[in-house]
Amino acid sequence: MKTKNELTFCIQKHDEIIKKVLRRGFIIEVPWLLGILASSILLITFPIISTNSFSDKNFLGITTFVIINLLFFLALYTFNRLLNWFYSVNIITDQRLIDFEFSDLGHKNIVECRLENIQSITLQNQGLLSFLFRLSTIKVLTSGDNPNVDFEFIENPTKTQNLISDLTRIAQGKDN
Amino acid sequence: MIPSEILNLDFVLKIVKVVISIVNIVFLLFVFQHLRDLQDNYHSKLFPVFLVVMGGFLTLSIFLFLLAIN
Repeated sequence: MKTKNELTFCIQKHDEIIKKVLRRGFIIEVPWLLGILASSILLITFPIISTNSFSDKNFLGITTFVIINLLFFLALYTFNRLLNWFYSVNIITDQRLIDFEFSDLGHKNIVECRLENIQSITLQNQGLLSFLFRLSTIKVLTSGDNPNVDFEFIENPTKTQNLISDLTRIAQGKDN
Repeated sequence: MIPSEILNLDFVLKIVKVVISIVNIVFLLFVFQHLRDLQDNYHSKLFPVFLVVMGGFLTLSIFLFLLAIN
């Protein structure tokens, strides 16, 4: 969790101060990482199993090459998904909330809502992992046609909820 | 008339290897472009580290391509 002013983002205004940068808990990424690990182990052990079955030199050569390339592909895919996790951030500034979401290659979703448009903040627990590791989802409901913002599986949700509440009150002129 | 070289198994396998390694390089370029896009949106200080990792992947993919054509 960072509150450093040196962090910047693309749609930042010159007088906008970042209060908090949040990210999904890394534990949420563990199940698919285990899947990738299991696939890699299967790929590595395949030539050992198949050596007895296929004695043809050409077949073994191409099999090994394909397996090395598949491992390379898996590593690159894992790196890409980790990048998506790292760059999918929720930013709380003194003026608005911004949700950057990246899921696949070329797919991004950037939602922002101004603090004065916030109507309610809901805290939700979703699933076993979020229960075990104290990760919650904060749903911010906005007025009118403004989009709602979800901060999914974040750590210390209560602190974040309080921060958004305080900033909202200041933005809406209800801080007295 | 089909050239006799095409019927050669070694030649066919070499083509398959080259195609696979080119697919990997193309995927690598997509990921690199994606990384640039991500960095454009949220300016992370870890970007140079990610570039070094991408460089490692690029080296490996070139090595695999050279392995395929040899």
